[in-house]
Amino acid sequence: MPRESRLPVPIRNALPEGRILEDPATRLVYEYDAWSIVRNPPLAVAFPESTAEVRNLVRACIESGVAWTARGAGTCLSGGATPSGGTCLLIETSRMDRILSLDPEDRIAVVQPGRINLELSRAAAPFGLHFAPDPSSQSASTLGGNLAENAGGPHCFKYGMTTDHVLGLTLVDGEGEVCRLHRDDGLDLCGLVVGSEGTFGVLTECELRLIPTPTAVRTFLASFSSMEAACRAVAKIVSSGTVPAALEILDRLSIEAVEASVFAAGYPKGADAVLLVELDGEEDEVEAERIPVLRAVQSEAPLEVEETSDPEQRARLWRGRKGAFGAMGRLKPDLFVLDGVVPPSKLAAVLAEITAIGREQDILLSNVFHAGDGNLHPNLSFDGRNPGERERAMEAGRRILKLCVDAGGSISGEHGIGFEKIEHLSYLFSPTDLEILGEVRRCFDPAERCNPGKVLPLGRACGEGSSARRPGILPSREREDP
Amino acid sequence: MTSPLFPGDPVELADLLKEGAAQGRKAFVAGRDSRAGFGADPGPIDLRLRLERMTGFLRFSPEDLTCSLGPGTTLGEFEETLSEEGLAFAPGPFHGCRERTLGGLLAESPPNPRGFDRAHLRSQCLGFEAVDGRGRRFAAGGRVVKNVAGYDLMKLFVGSGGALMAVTRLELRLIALPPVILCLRSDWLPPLEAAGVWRKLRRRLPTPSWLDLVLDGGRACVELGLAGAASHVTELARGSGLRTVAEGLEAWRGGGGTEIPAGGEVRGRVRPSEVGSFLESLGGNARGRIHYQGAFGLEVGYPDSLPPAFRGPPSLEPAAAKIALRLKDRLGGILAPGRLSFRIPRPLPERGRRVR
Amino acid sequence: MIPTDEPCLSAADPGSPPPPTDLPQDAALEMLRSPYERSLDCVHCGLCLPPCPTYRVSGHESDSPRGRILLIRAMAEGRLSPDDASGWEALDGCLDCRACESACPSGVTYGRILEETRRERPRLARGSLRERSLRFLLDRFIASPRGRKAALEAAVLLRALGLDRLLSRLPVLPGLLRHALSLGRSLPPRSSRRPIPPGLYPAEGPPKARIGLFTGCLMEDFFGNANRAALSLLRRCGLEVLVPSDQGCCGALHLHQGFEEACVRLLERNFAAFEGVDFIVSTAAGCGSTLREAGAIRGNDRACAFSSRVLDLSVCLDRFGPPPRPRAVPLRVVWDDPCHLRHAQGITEEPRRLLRGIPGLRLLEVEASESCCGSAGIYNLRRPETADAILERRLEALLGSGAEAVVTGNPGCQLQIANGLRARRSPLEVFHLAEILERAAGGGETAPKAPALNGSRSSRPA
Repeated sequence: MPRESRLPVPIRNALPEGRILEDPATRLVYEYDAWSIVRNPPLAVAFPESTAEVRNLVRACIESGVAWTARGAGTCLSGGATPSGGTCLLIETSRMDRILSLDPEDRIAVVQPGRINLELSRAAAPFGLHFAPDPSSQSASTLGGNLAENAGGPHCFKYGMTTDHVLGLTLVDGEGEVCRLHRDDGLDLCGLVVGSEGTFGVLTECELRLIPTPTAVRTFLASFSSMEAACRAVAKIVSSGTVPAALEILDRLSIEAVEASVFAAGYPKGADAVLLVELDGEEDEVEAERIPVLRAVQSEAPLEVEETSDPEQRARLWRGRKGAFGAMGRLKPDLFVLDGVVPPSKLAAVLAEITAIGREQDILLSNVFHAGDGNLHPNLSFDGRNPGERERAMEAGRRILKLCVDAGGSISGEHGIGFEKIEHLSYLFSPTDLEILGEVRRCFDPAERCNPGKVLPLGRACGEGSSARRPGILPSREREDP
Repeated sequence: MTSPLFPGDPVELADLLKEGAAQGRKAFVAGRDSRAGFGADPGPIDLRLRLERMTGFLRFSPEDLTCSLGPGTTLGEFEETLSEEGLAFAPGPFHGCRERTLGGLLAESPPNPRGFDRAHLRSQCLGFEAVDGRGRRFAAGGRVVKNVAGYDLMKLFVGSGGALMAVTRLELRLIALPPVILCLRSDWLPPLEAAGVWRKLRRRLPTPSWLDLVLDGGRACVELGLAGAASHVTELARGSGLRTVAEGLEAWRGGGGTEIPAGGEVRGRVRPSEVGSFLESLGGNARGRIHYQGAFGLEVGYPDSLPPAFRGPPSLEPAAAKIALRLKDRLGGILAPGRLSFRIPRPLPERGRRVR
Repeated sequence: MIPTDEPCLSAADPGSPPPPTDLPQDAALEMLRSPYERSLDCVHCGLCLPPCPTYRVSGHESDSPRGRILLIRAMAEGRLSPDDASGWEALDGCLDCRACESACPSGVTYGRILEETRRERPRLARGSLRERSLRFLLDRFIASPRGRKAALEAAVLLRALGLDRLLSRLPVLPGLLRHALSLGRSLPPRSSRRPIPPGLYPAEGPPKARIGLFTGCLMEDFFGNANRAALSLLRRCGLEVLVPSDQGCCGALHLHQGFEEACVRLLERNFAAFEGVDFIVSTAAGCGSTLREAGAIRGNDRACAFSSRVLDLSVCLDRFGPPPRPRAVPLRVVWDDPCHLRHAQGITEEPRRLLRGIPGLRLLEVEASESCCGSAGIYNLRRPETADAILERRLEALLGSGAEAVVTGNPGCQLQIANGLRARRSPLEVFHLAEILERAAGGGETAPKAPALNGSRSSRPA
């Protein structure tokens, strides 16, 4: 340890030498995750390797009065893994990446939280199994992070979010106690912890469900001359009883950006919307399901329809979707990805309004989204160096989230609240709602030292004295206030 | 026994609970109280509330596959309306539960054949409005199928046994009714033999609608539910070696199966690979069902014969129990004081720490 | 509670550091202008972390491409002092394998960002003793044929006297020297170090094109056999081959260390040497990648014209061939993607296609074949511990694959893997692609064994 260490002694002694770093470069590179707006260099970064080491660290933090934030690969899009503040210890789980057990018959894997999502599926592949949740970051993001955020992904339309695949977990709670939670019927504390964004404790083990890998996959690409038609096709597919593995739409600007980039997938230029549908399962299942899908698509006068089960061709069709984020990132130096949800029946109307907001705020705005569950990802591309542009982008983002809530939706479908959307919570929740959320949190972490400032505003009085927050919730909730 | 009160809306319910809390009473909120006497004893109660007046659809959006319900709506009327629209509720079949309220069903969260993965009861609740044990009205979640705003309090409600809150409005996820549904059964077999068939089908069928090992004392059978496109379902049925006993809506609602219902009082989860030794430990003494992923609900003749892990209230480690008790205290307030009981195993000595 | 000297910041806290794109106008930024501008393409998504070999070893963000880009940005923005040792420590830790570029959804030109930053290091940071010694080493012992020869002779002498083993056991020997000695042990016999005589070699049959063969430094010294096999294969494909006498080092190692002007000087010499050929073929992925980037580095027409004519051996054989492969080579082999082929040049299919066409040969794929072996130019000399840890992961995959031989296309990788296998007493052999293809073509009864493995004086050149 350097002599001029700023670390309290208990923390310094909590891990073997060399596994807590506090040099300037280390502190700097951990100052934020994949959401760039708030940056806080941590006090130091710790690299534990076991549940016991995490517990020792957390207890040392408590003893020293220091807050902590856990982080996996730092791919969170809402600041969940950004250090809570300059006096916060960052607990990095990258060295906790082992598979502790993998049982093919029971289809259960127990892993450490630093394991990368895709690398669990890779390990399960020889048994014909995989881990279903597939956030776009799955090649990098860790399972601990996936659980903390309750990550989604294109295939969660059919298979459910991360929470539907968790059987149990081990948590070092806010008081430094090791808490093993199993998910039997009855009180589901485990389900409560999934999606709590690290504010209940630090995950140290995850017991996960693996599912059989489908033997047949078929991908369809349909392009339409209007976004409304694409959305109607989606509604028809969903109401036919067919449950595609994925239903994704790209809008005109996204198509153009993708086709101009290295991810060019041959999407028809001039189309207003491209719809990707994927069916998976057993051969005859997919064969049976393609008929209602084609019928739905054909009834909306598509410009072009392509269908393939060839792995290379499928990869090509998906390339544009998967590269869209990167392609948009190159349009302007800054990219701000939103994560609103609306009821699927309101997609077309909401998208039209979103386009209008982009035009009013003069911000380059494109949409790539999970159409099946109404999870929108408007991408705002801007150049923060131009005066006023960042502010306009933020204002557009705020208005879009408000719009989603007014349509009966939500401010986040899979990216989490983190730092990013705390101020937007009031669109959804009343002060009492937030007060209850705070109480639940303090059952796990009474002193609020676990990743403070995320999900809920800082401080015990959250929701109570903040007159800025609008009392009551949505009028559309039909809840009369006493 | 105090006579029950029937609040007609959330405000009344909140006022009653607030008042009760101020007077130091002990309250129990039920749907229609059809499950009185089941589950952990709620303890001495002097304020009984029933939500059967808060009933019916408050919102119905078939195009989005969601709806809002009063908690007093019965499963029977709910499923009736859905099937008229070609829709369905993913979990089930809940045998003999048509008169039960949805609020009660979710609060209890009994094991059921289809209730695994995404079709688990706890994944159906997208949001709610509720009153806690101090009379505070609050809401959580939302109306859309994908939503991570705020903590997932829906998980806290489903399976809480009415000990943490009383729900006044439920937001539920629906699915389109599958075009073809079949229920198939094996013959009655010796339990271990049936378990062999069950395990083999379990390996062969990646996505059945349900696959139960049905126990009836000294005999057992396998019940398989298939749902989906016609050609696929027929193909699977043919390959299963079981015979079809019900089709369509009847099969979906649990008709044509055995008389053995899901949701028995002794509950837990057994690893499918260990089902053989589990059956042996039961010694032909149980009636009930073991579902696809090993969750079970059984009626057991001599509970003392059960392996200790499955006897009595669930066991919760001290740290988890501490959190559960805090939730009970802060949120639950005066609600069902006896519910949420669990065994707390003796804490292990903390090795790592001591040695240092 | 939380100490209050630095209060916890919330989203709305005005105390947050300035956003990245507020351009501070100072000297560091001026020097780092180009890498800084390039770094703006990075959206900090983190997809480059898992493919990065150094990140996989340490789990430290500062050992990842995203972290290093952030450090360079911070230096340009004045948030990290260019004198800060921890920053350069992190930047020096990069292998320059460019696996991150293959994974990047935004097309960030990471290799150039790093090279341009290293180039500015002498002007940015004090105390460049390390720089000077590294530069001396590269100039005198890599780029200079005479110096290289002298060093090799010294190593051969040490080995002949059995002193190398003795020396490497000395506990006080610095890691770098110890590693250099172990590389010395990989030296092929003098007979196979015979350079290809310069000149014009005719094609078999009517010539389809004229090829300039770039023989490289390490390649020629350690794997002369492979170069000779390449020459033969090219001729078999109906290509006329010129081996210019005045060609020289490509400057790749200089470039990676940030000595860009030295690299440019070396490149200029090669521009002249290869005037008049249709294509320039490199048998070393590392050299080939630098030659192909000459246009981007130098930025003039002559350099661009040169770059556009550079082909890797595998691409050339695939395009003009394939060479005849009448003889069976009954081996289970793994193709080991050199980073500067796979990531820097995007070449993965051609060598596999050539191998698959060999009768009797079974091509296996191993997990993480895209991951570096730890050689990375002179990285294994600079950071032996990290290089060893990276190699370890690679060897695990190779040994678990059931392969009998490893085929690759870069001298550094070939040395590194062969050394690692030897240390583990593994029977796996390592070949250059050209050697295996030439064996299948029927040339050289005694298709040369990988020198790193048998190293014995008895093996005869092809």
